[in-house]
Amino acid sequence: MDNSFLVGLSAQQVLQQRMDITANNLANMTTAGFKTEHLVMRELSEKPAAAHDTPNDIAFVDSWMLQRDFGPGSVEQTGNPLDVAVEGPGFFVIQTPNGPAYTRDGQFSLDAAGQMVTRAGYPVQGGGGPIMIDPTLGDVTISKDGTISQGDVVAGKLQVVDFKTPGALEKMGDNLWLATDEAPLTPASIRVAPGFVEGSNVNAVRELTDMIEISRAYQSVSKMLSNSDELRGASIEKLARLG
Amino acid sequence: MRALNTAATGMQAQQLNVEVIANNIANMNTTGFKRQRAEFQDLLYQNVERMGVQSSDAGTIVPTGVQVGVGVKSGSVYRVTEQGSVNQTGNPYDTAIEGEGYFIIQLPDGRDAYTRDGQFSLSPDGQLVTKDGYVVAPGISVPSDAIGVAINRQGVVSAIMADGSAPQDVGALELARFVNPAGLEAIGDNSFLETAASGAANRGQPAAVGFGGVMQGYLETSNVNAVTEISALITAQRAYEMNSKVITTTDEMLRSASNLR
Repeated sequence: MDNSFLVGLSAQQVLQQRMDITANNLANMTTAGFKTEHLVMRELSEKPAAAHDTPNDIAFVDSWMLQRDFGPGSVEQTGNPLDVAVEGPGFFVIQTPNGPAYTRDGQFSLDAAGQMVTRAGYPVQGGGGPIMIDPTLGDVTISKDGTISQGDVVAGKLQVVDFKTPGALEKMGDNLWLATDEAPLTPASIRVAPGFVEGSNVNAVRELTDMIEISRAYQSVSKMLSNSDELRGASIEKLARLG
Repeated sequence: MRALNTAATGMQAQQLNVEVIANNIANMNTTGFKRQRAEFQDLLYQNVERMGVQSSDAGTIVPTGVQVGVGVKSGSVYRVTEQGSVNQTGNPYDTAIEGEGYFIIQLPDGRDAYTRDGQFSLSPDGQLVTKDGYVVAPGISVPSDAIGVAINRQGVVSAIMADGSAPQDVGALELARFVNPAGLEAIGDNSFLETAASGAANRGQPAAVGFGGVMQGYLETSNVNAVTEISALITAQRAYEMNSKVITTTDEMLRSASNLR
């Protein structure tokens, strides 16, 4: 009978983790370029301790992997010439102190030297290294293919890369992703939307219904656990009376 | 449970969002005001099951792993330096910049401040000053017998004399440009200070390459768009509510756990 407690415990642990992930999705509802993720659970079958107890395996619950939704987020016009959103799949390449990182957050600005950087100050990678803007020239414009120019002078071209399994990227916070064991692919052509920022693709309704489901599942497991406990209490009492 | 803290970071972020929107709406009629935008980033992630690790002796790897994020943080409050529309006032000392650049104001403590607010007037001794009486760089004095001034696109100020003689050139306004104007430090009174992030001021004549032209008799309005702000406010409010819902739901789950026995 102890198994029912352990099965319940495994379910509650995974449900807590699901709740944490749902909370993170909702907390990042207004984070640029954020992608929703959901926990996928799996059954973990184990043989019972004594085969004659129950003929069947006992199925525990285990967190298995994250299912990441790379669907496009809502795109918002900002009126800022250095804002840019990736259209379709792909990531901007950012040079962090620890090597290249990838992001869908295209809220860029210039640093004091005229280099195009993220809000954290990390250089944005162009096709041939960092992108430098000459402050003495005119306004900066970004075209739909990612070319950055000031008047007739081309300052660089934004680099956009893609991955075969973007779900396998590791999130490092600050809207940045790290490649794990797959090298980035460079698509033949890219399309960006200058003057726009991609919002998060969190679907509030889906998250709220998920939340209700998780909370109810958690409560019903709790109920199951207290029922098992009662059952055990009652049986101990009866058995004690026999003796 | 992490969810409680995660939701708290979400509520804090939305609170900042509402504060920034409130300031934008409050300054809707402030001359030369540039709207701000709160920007958010996801906080760090905890690796429960790292992606790419071996999952069996046969060399299979975990394709996507499990990472649990712990919420959101406010990355920065960015100033959108988009041009505001210009409003005709008819006052000869009102000026607006059409394009890039800031007027340079000499603060009493000797530093230079930068502003897009061109509501100038004359001091008792004929100097061109701001509403606070600070001198507008490089210092322009209008003779006392002038009956008016004309300011052209290049910022050259000419005094129109009472005796009908030719207008007298009394100086020219200067503008300053920054590599990263969003990096300027706001000090209130529509003024900004130069910082390490903005880069050093690059001074020049109005209407020169890269600099905006000066328009006499106009003022630049704020670039706040009421509709955008209100819809952003609604989004922020709903996001705040949803995060507080996470807290109540998590609380319920914890209660059911503590009621087990």
